[in-house]
Amino acid sequence: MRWFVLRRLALAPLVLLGMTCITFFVSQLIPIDPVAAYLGGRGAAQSDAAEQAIIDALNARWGWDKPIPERYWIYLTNLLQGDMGESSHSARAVSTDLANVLPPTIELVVAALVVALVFGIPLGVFAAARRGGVWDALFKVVSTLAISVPVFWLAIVGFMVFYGRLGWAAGPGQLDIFTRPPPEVTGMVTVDSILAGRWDALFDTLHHLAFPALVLGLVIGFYFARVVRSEMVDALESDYVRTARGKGLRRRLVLYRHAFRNAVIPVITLSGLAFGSLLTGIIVVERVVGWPGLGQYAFTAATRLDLNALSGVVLVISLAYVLANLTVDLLYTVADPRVRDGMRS
Amino acid sequence: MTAGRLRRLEEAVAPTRFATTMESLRPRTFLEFYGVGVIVVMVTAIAAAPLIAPDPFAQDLPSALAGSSADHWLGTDNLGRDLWSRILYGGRVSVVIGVFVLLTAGAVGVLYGAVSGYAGGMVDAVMMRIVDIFLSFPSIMLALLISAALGPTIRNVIIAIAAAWWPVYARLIRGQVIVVKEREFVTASRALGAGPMRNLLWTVLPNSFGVMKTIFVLDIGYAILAGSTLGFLGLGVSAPTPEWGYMIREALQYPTHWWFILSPGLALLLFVSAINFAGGIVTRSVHEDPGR
Amino acid sequence: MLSVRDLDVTFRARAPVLAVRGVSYDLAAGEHVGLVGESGSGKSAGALALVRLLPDYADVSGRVMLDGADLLRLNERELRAVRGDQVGIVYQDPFSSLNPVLTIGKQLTEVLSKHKGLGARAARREAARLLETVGVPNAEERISDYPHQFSGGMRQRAVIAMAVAPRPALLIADEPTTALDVTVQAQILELLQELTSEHETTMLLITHDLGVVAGVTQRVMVMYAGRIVESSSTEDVFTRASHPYTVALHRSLPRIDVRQERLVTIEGQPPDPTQLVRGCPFAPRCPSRIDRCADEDPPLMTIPTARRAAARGWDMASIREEDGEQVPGPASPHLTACWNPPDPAGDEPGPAR
Repeated sequence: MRWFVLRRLALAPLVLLGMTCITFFVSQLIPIDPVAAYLGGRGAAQSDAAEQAIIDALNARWGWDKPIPERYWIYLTNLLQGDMGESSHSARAVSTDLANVLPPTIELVVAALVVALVFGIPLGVFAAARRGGVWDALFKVVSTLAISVPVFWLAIVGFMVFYGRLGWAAGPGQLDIFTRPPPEVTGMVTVDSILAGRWDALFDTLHHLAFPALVLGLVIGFYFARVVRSEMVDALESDYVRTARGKGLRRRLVLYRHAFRNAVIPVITLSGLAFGSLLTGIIVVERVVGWPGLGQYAFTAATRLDLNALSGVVLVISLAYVLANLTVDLLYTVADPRVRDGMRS
Repeated sequence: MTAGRLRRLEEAVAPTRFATTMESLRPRTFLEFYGVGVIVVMVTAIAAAPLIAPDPFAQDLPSALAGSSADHWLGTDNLGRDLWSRILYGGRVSVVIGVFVLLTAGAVGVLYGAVSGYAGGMVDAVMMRIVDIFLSFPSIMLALLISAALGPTIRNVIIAIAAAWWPVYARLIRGQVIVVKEREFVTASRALGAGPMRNLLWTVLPNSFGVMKTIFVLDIGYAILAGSTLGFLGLGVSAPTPEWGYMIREALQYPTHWWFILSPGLALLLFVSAINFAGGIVTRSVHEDPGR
Repeated sequence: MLSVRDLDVTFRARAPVLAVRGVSYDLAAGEHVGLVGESGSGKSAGALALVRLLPDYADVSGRVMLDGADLLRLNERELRAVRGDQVGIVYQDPFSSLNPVLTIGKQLTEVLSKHKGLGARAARREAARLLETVGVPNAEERISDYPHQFSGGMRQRAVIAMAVAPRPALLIADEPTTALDVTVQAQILELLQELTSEHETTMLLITHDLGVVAGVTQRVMVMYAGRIVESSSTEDVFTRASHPYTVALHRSLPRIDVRQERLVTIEGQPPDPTQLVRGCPFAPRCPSRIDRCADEDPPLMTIPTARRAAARGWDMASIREEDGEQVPGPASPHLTACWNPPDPAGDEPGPAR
């Protein structure tokens, strides 16, 4: 176990370095002069001398006049100091922007993940326990539709129906315009409301959170459920489950203690991948419901071709993804005693 | 070499009979028939678009955002263009993206994975660490960045998604190649004097495709979804070309005109889910294929 | 004690597999009976069907009376009270029949708390004692080990401990030694013998290996193509086999007393289990087949009846009249399902080809 985890931990920085390398070289693909693009974003300078001064300053900071490997080195050192450059559309430092948009996104991701797990895992167990039956067939149809639907479209249509028509979902944003926001501490409105004891704001923001969290959570939940179902079906047909049934154990014990404990191991691995699609979903869903997070920011950055902002977003999301997968690996060693003893990896 | 071993070797090297393959690829359940049926109908309609639909670019501003009528079956978009036609032509873009992403990513991934697996040792280790790095991005993120950097054209969308996807195939094929290259018919073919390249291309690779078949079919659907996501983000195909994701993006500004937003999304859902329903056939044929 | 009548097992598939065809037998309390046959003969399916442990796609019909209750007609709840408590099972492969993510102790105590109503601590103590009994050294410590930390033989001992924990009346041992090393096989058989004799447990020992039943059982039933084709005392099976298939099984056992150029195998294949067979299923491979074998499936008959039936061309009714109801059981005579039973002439049984 120690070796497995250590190897993973040792590789993580290497992976991150490789990722910065890829994002850097991709952003070098852009066929325009970065200096011109930068200046173009804020209008012509007053004089040639002033313009030259700006260019010199930029070159000093980013090394745009230097060869590519050296520029990468500069990019990397800046990055390590938290400097990701300026966003061309917000005219602020990308790191400042990211710090502002990250908290609402964390709220949404956590909420969606909770929905996905609470809904998806029991559903998968349910379908597996009734495999071959009517419920299982229905599950197959609905879950296939769920993994085939474009999330952004589902969010739009859902929002039109549940907000526009029925008025069940709350409107855009994190709070109603009439609700006074709680004092900002963490940037997460739910947490800030609790800290300030503002229960009205908490209730209101949870109402706003519900729709995007449910859309994302249900779609990802169906994905979880499919994986859980197929792993459970394998486990239920295994010899050790037959042994458990042969002992005369109750159905629930056989299902959860014997089959599920085994089925959950591959599910853990796949939930790391599901986290990736959750992060992707964030980008499109936040735009639809006007959630002021990372996704909304990425959407705008993509629309305005704001590469600094975009690669900042990509790096942050990928970092989260790497961390999630590292966590998954650790969980994996906890869940499977064979890995713990270094029998499998 | 005993007679038994020789026979097994012949069986292993013998090409799968076409008839057997076709038999195993027949749809059996209702959902599989449904999936295949929808795919056939949609692909036919998409291919026959010029015959059954008006010009997708013809603007008719006075009748913009109109509902269903005899002239415009699905109504019109914000510029008065015929939605039915734009859906069909948008399907062409989606199919092209789906197929070419798979071909590009497949070709790169298969070659890379095969070389890595066949070479083994340090070469394999280094090549796989590179794959690990690519796999550490959520795939759409990398595609998004590449697409933004290259600019919005069909070709660039294909490159962007393929660049994000090839590592998956590389890793899969590598795993298969490692297993297959130890099987005895490869050893036998090496003993018969086949060089490494010949060995790789003609003996190892064809025997490694089993798993790939499933993934390929299902991934066409996901490639189409990824393409439309880029389109929705404005990083897909550029403006006048009809594309389902981009149409949804445009429709987002006219939330009261439900047919405008429903039709491209339903087309996507119908097509991608049909691929997923039909995908069961391939999954099954791989499981039943004794040669794998 | 156990009485099985007309047991049929069919696996639903595109071509349904007829695994067990009309099997009937009785077991007396404390008896040890071997069920012998090659793989695919239906012996395991027939045994697991007794407590309905087969997968969903298996259809089981017939009657399985255990102490007055028909196991095939119990509801799930009643059946759970029988499984593990009155009927213990030892499975073929100890590498897959133990749950890899639960400790040996957990898997053992759950039987005890289910059927003996023991609390956590008492169950743990009893589990350690049981492990000790089945010969696991350092049982106290090893109780918190996972299956992968056990060797194959130790795992099978743990499986046996689980099977015998609630002192079942019937122990079904489904090829308990097949997956193990030869040296361990004998120890496991000895352990089974010991534990079942001690508590007068009835044991149904399923194996493909005639050698395994030799020292352990009093009676043997030989299965072929889903049917019982011969039933007799263990001694008779070895000295006076009366079915050509049993004879052939004997010949295929490697011998140390005679120098053999090559191992003897049985020519041909068992019949396709998806097809209904006309006549005796062994006929195509049988050296002593007669015309009648191709048309009529022989019932289980006593040896004298079998000889006369063939000679005089008796129909089923006459055979019934002669034999009465013959079901393999503790008191039943030597039975054979053959129209032309081989002559029990010592070393070279059966008529020459």
